[in-house]
Amino acid sequence: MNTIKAARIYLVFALLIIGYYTYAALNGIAFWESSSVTRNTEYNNNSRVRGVHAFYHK
Amino acid sequence: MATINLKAFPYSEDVTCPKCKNIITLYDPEGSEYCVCSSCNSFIRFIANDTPVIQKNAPPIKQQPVLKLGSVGLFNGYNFKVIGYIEKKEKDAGYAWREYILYNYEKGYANFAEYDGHWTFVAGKEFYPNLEKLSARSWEFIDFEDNEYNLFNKYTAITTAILGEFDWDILYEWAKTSEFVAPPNIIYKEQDKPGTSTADFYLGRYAEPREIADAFKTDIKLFPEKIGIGANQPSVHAKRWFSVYKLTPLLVVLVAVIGFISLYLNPQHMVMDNDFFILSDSTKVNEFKPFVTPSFTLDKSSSALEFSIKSDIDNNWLETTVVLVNEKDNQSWEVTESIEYYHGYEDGESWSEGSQEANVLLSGIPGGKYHLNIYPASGDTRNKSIHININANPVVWRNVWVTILLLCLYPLYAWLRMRNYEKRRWMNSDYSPYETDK
Repeated sequence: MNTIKAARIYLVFALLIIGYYTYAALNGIAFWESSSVTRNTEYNNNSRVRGVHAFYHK
Repeated sequence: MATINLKAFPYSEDVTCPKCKNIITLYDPEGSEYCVCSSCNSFIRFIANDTPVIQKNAPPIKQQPVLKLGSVGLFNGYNFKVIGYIEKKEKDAGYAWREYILYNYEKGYANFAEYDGHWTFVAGKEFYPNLEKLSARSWEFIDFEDNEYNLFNKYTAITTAILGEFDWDILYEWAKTSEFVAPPNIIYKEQDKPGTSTADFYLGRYAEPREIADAFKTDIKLFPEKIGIGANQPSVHAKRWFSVYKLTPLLVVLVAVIGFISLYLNPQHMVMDNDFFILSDSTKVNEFKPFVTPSFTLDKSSSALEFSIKSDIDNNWLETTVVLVNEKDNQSWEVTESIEYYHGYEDGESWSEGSQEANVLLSGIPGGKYHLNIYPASGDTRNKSIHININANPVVWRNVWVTILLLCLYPLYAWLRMRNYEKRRWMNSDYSPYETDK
């Protein structure tokens, strides 16, 4: 119990990391994807800009 | 011997200095055999019928004591009264420190030792009966009550000035001392008589000036500032390290367990594993005709996709743009990858560089029906095929390693700070376990 008390800040930080890791694992999210990937921003009535890799679909 | 086994402090008594007629207050008149006159520095012994006799002159003190003689405080669970003050130094060296004799009416004497602003509460077997089990051997370390105490220093202590009252002839004391540390504790092994195998052991615990000031109701501003790191000063970095070093492996195991659970809930499966024949586009240099792959479906609302693009190129290159297209809303992901593979034989040695394969990871692809648009180009127009393999829900190892790395960053930082702190502590010792710069 004393160990947990002394390490509580680390524990909160660790649980946040593990929480996001779990969310990513269950939803097929990579912390970063291949740098050469670009996503189109205009498809079927969607004109939102997503990220910096915007391009027009061929 | 100090008067012990009482239920309260004995009444103090005043005696008159035989030399200067100054009034000296004794706080343990029955137990104290020696005292010092604060006016003329006479070192007085009480012989038969409590008659004061001057033994010699005690050297005057160089620093005013922080804790006043006669001040009372509750410390470490015991009521203490400050009855003596001693200035000591190491024989043949310039290191000097101060000790405050604390009298408790049940157990007898303990003391505070102060060196460079670092305070240690020191007591003997009357307070710590387990010290009785230790015997005088020439150790490099001592195992005591689940702690390993490492030899830190050896010296002969010489008394240079005294004030107050004592139950032994302190001016003749030349204690050969060894210090063993296990912060915040320290064990002192003292041999009063050179050549003998008997020794007295004392256990010390690092004390913060604030707790002493509070206990003895003394102004904290009077306490000397800390210089450097004390021999038994506890390390905040060690505390941090010891609080996380057992936790981190458990968290790493938790990461592995979560990985296995997600693999069980979303098993990796192949959605495409095909060879595609490619036809050269005669109208463009190095380019092949684009083509569309068969469709495949992603059932899960969000998946990672791992592409593997292979081609049997030989001493040549291939570049292909792959566009993943959602057939429902035309949302797409484009990636361009190059493959280069060269090899040869030169100066009697075979060499090769590059690879015939490239891998791409796509993250968070929504569920739906997809196909690929492929735009190949290659330096070798005789190239006939591209192999494309797509796995859905692959193990994203980069997530695993990055998570473990992040979990280990703070413990690593704490360990490095602890090690640095300990190295600095042991710079004051001739017995450092760390390598020192010569």
